[in-house]
Amino acid sequence: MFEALTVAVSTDLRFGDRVKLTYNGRKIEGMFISLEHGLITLKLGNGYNIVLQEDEFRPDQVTKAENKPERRPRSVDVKNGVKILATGGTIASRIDYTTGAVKPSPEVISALETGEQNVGYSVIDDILSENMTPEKWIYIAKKTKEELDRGNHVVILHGTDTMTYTASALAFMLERQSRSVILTGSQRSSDRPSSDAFENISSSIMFTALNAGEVCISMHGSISDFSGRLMRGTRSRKMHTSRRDAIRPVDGRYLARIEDGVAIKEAEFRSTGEDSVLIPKMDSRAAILYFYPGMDPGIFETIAQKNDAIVIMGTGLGHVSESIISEVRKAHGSGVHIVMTSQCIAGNTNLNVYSTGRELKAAGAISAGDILPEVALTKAMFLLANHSDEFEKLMQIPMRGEIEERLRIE
Amino acid sequence: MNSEEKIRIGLEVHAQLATGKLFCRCSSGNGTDTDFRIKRRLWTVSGEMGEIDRAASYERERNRSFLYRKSVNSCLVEADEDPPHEINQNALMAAIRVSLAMDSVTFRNMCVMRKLVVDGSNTSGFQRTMLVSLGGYIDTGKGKVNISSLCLEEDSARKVSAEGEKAEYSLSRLGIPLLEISTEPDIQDENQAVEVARKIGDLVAGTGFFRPSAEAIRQDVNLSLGYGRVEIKGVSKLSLISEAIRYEVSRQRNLKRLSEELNYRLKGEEVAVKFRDVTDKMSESGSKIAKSQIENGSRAFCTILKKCSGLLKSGEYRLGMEIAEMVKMFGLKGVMHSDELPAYGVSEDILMALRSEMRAGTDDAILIIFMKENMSGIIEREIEKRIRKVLMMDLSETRYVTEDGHTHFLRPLPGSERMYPETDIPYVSADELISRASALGKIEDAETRAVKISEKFGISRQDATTIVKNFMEDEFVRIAEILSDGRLSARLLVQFIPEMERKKKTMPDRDLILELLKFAGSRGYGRESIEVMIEMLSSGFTVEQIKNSDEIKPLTIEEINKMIHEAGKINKPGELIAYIKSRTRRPLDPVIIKKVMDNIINEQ
Repeated sequence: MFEALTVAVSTDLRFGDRVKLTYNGRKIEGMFISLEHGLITLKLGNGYNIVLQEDEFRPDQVTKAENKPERRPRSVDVKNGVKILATGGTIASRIDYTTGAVKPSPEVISALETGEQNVGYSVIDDILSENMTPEKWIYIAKKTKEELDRGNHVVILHGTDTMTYTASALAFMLERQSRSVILTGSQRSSDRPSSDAFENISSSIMFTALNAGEVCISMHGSISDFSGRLMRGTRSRKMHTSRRDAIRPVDGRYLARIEDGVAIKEAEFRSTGEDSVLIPKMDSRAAILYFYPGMDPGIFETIAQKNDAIVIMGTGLGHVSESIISEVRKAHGSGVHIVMTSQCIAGNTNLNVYSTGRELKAAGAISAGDILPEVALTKAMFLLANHSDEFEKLMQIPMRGEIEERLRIE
Repeated sequence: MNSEEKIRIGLEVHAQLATGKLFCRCSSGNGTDTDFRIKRRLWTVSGEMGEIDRAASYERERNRSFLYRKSVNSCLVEADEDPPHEINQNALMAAIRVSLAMDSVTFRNMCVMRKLVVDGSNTSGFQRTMLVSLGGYIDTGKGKVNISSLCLEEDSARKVSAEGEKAEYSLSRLGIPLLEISTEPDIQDENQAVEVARKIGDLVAGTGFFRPSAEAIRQDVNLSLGYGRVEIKGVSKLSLISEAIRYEVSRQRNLKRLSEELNYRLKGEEVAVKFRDVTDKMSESGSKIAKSQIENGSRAFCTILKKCSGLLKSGEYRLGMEIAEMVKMFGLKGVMHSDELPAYGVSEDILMALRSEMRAGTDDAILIIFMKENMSGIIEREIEKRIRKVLMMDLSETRYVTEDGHTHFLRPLPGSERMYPETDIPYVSADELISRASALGKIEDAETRAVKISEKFGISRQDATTIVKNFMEDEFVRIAEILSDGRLSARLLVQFIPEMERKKKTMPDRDLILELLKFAGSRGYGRESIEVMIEMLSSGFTVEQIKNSDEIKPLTIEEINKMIHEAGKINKPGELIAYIKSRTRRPLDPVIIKKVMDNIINEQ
């Protein structure tokens, strides 16, 4: 079917339409891909895309594309096996020209459709991990609990940016678990041949054989492939923007590794129990504040007014300037919990060594060993919602392995 | 020649640019490899349209892992651990200038694509490439050769070693900008092909960013006799073009005759390859090949090839070789077939026993392959595909050429499905570069450039022509600027360095030479010292070792005077030089010698 074209054609074009045009005297044939910010992308027969400005675009002929049925991700149920829950992120993403959105990648879906016995999957969300919220953590936690109750280990596909937050939030909400819960992601999207997605998924499935009764993260342990590692969800953190081994255990060690396709235990962890108990409540009135020299005390005051708990990322052992200390005192007086963590990320906080620390302590701040700032935040949200009267006491003792009480000599 | 046959030749010329790498800020020099290795595997993913490319899926069947060696000129980008940085503006400028010189239609906005290549030569599994221009032409003695496209892309990683399913690559070459210029199939013969390649080289050199290296210009040849396009890879030496073309033409003609014969014999019967495990028979055969293969865990599989007797290897028929080359790409050692048996320790009796077990008719051939059991399904399908392609005379595929001019199967031709937009890089706007390139004017031809260089740097016309013809002008200008001495620079480049390369059989890193020359310049060292430095570099000394070596320091007046004192009477410069050379290998600066001699003469 051919359509004569006169004006304003570009807005009528749809992905897949075939276009013939003359550009600087040269005949060009291509397929319409997209129109964005006044730029039109066409795919030529040799696979290359070219980009024309809207004012350069004068098609001689357009052939409308047939509507192709879209391949939708299905859901496969399983019992007493492994259930993969996809939430989005790089691991599951692929560009979609019709909407410009990032969509679940067919590669990952087909990797899941390989007919592997006892592996099911379902796409429960489709967001980049910076768009996670405490409500979404609760939603994921509930979905996870349903699968645990079907006797399934759960592998959660998640963006790596905020994986620590989700992993630790799930860890606090899941008081006991009858099967493993492992979050995994990828640093190279699954639309590339070099993607780490496929190996990370298969490593995660292999790690379920260890029956870890904790919320864990599985990613690469080095920039080489064949390096699957298992980490404690409450002790790991994204420490690099782009490397495959970006998520690392802090002040701790890998729990297990993959060697020749077999999961091998490297450190102690809690084993799975008889049943699973979920406490699906979080109070989002908690915030992280990164202290810096010269910080306006007014910033602290504003944050204190809107929250019931503040996790400070202080300097060194856990310090802030004198002008902030008085704000801490005020906030604590009005019932806000103040938790001190460190910008150093690794190592303990200690409010006894310097006078600043002692003054902070006197002002009402508490420290919680070497807890990671992000983990302190999710723990604060969990405690506010479920144990607000015991907040100070529980914050300082490890509930889910989030505090290392003995830092090893290494 | 068959009347329907018309040989059509197209060229794909790849020229490296010395601008630094395309998407990171690493040098485009010959960075040496370190011992740090990364181990990776690659997965097959679908293209932008959701289909899996046939060349890519072929590689997937081969199931491979790769090692990559870090080089001094590689960073996290080459390791596929950091997204690409901004595009190198000098490289894009060079691409645009060459496009304008060929009268091509240059795009104002460009889209970087990922061309899927899963043979391991790219850590990412794709090569980044962008279409800069379409059309244009190159003038030759035999008329115009039309250009189809010019792309700016990243060079691939160089293979260091390959052993079975394991291949090791160096990251050194990965990411160096490459201009890929493809011609229409307008070329009539190999002489014209050589002329086109040279003219394209001249244009790239004229941009001022030609990369001086042994692999700076590489070309692939596209050939068609009407039986599908065959892309011949790795025709590095232009002299190989004609041999490769001759070989390929004769191969295709023989296959054409074979195809007619087999079609006649089969009378429409389907091609079917079905393996049967004959390990027991083969292990009794006494064949050494069979014995060692079976001991290594392979099993022997046999299939009938219907009506193929006498077509696998006899006279000009070579279907056996076509199959053998294909299974070799799966890491298998090759095949045995009934046209060449009894041989390889397989007796007539065993052959007869196999034939009867397989129920092979007199017209049928049998084929034996040693492989792991899990391979047999893939190999069955691939052999069927191979025979069907011959029956249909669709010979399109990617082949590679060896030194003897013979071509060999490499992989199926990649389709457009291997292209996917590089989502890490926004569109590149080239408006500003295009207007700057237009202002610079067209690239001058080689002759004009040689005259200019000769006049500007005071070197002979002959040296200037040699420099331009060998694509060394950028390097020459850089060296001449460092040394502020055109003649010395020309001598080094035209005579001394090539001499060293012949003598030491290695090509010293150009970046390191420049570094040494800068050092020499800062110390005021002359020709003698510089030559010693380059010789040391060619012998494998590091830059630091050379800089700290006493052997490069010219003798001072005081040292020479001391030697003269020790020698007693010396009258002529020649005597002095001979005496000093007998005592030390350190360089002698002629200026200093002259000063010393003047002093001696004055004193006398």
